[in-house]
Amino acid sequence: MEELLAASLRLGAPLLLAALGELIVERAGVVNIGIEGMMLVGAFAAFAAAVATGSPGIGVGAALAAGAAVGLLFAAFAVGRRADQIVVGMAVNLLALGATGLAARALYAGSIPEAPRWGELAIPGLAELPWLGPVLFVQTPFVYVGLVGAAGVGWFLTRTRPGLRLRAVGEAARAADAEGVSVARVRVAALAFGGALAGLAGASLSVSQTGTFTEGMTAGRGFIALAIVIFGRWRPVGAAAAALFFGATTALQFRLQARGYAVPYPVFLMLPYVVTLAVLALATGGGRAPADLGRPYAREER
Amino acid sequence: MNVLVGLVRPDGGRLELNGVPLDLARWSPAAALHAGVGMVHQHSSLVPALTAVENLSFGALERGWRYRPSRERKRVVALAERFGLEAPLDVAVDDLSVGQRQRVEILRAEARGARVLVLDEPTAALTPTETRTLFPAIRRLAADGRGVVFISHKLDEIRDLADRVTVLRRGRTVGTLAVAEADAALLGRWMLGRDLPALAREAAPAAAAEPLLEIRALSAPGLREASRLREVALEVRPGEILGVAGIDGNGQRELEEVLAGVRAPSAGELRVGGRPVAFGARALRTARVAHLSGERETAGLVPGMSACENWILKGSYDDRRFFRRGRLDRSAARRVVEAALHEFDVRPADPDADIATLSGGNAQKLAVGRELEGEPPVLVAVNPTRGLDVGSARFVHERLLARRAAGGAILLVSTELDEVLALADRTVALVRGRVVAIPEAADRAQIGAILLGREAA
Repeated sequence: MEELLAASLRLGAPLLLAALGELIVERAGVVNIGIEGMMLVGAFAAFAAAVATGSPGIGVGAALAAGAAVGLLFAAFAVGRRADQIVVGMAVNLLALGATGLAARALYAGSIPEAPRWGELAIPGLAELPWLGPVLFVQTPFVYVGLVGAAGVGWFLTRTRPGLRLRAVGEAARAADAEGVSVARVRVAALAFGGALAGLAGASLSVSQTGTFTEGMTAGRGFIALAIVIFGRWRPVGAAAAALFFGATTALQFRLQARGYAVPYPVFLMLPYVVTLAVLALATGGGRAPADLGRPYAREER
Repeated sequence: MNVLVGLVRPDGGRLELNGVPLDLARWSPAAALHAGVGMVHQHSSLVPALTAVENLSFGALERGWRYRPSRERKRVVALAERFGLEAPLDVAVDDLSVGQRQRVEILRAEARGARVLVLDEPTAALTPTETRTLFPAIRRLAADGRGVVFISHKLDEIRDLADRVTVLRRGRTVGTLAVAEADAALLGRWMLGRDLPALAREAAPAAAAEPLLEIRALSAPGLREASRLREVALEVRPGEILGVAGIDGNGQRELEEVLAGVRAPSAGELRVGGRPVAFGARALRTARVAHLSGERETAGLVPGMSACENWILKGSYDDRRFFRRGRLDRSAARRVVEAALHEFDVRPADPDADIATLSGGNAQKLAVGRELEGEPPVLVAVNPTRGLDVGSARFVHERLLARRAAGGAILLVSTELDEVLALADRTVALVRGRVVAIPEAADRAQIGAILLGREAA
């Protein structure tokens, strides 16, 4: 049981990180379906930098920077040129898939090396707690960042002036503009942050969970993060709970595979995605999306 | 006025504040705020999902990185007490009444230290009682040294409140006068460019006639609890205008949507000319229930489509003039529509003009023409003059009265009490989704109290 919970957290961490970034972006009124691509770019940047330098920490830094850069690229089109956010997001996903695959082949010519990994980091003292210790406090840094990040995002949104402005921009861009808040600046900053967190989520796949990079290794986790934001009703606590839930379905899936039932293994692999579909189908209603979600803002309109 | 607060950049001209010319090339909402120009918009410019305190705390002028709810709240309470502008502070602004929202907006301008306050038709959606509590607050602001620009098309309000009056027509200044020297006839002429005779209305019809439109025990789910329709019963006779007065958000929109066939009622019955009619867009159209909406852009017309296309939308099921064996006859449609555009004085009378390029008044004239074409026995008109200039509003009113004189039954749902009182033969109130009777002899203050639900018990 402890093991399953710990695995749920470990597997849920990338989902949570990506979802927190997406949550900030959506609360600012932008739908970023390019999050899958941003994760992939982060995974590759972390892997390549970690292999080149031998330091997973530098890899993580590279993932943050690369994710933010893709976020800014998205912003250049979706905010700067007011392009359709769905179209830009799809373009980012396709671009990321192709570019990382090409770069991986060009750099490693078929033989992918092993990257140094960030392993578990036991928190002194707390790790010795019975039951709770091994579940919560012997984890990768990504889990800690995710959990602290969820609290931090909640605090940011309700207790800081920039957080208040961000919510105003997502709920009523025009009203925010009339109050002198720059809608574009807030959205660009949100996208850079969202991209960086997606990059971090990608890094956790390549330089923590696996130590390798494969084409399309995010395997739809970005889209699951999108679902988590909706399922968590655009709230950090909700997102954390939803991420843990999806982490648990993935952990369970591995368990079931290991049991060696006479069922083809792809059936188990499907589990997290089937659950995503079911949740999205059932979780409609309740909770309200930001009112200006998905709408490019132009001042002269009206 | 959007120029004044920086939302629209001017093409030319000068703007001075306290005798200092402002830099128009860099004029923006932030610059306007810094300069001390505050505006209360006709449509609320608050963020609906945030509370009043949050709305007063997110602006670009607010300093400090942290947001401390209790500290900000104290500041707002102090301000509210100073100007007598109380409103609930801890619920989402979306749940406040129009009057309360307005008070929050004025508070916000004050919190910014506004030196000039622009109020754009602040009384348009208020009850007489709410208006009476607003005016002293405005006077207090003026007495405190603020310059107040009060935009209204109601002459008596101007006379009550203003020191000087300027009339704008079609984007030009017609003239400026001290209110003491302004008489209503002159101002009316300035606003219209012509004299405005009183509305001509014939006597009410005999009450004996069978009702053309009957609504019985109609209940329907609402957007909010307060706007759920609760056993609404209404009867409109031929040649009669039944006025339904009320404050926005008391079920007007739900009633309109049910009668347009786009909101399913939970219970109730509808009869037109004595025959039962199903609640559905097509059944209602077939029964010739016409529908004129004040929400032109979202409910009445389709911006982005031409005048001609908008006109034939109504009859798109089976209008033989426009459709032959399911195919649209464009030239026939354009001929018919062009004639109608001339008849209803829509400018430009171009059947190919995009609706989005027409002014609100011209778009609404088109909608009126379309709905009244073919003399429908029943017309449901909801806020038919919302946002229109005086001349276009007058045109709409005249057409409604003409339809009444020809024996049509008109259900006029409006949040403008003046409009209802001027046009309707009988008036009822819609309060929290219920129909409440208004006594024949009630004066405006008494009606206002009914609309607020004060005398509902």
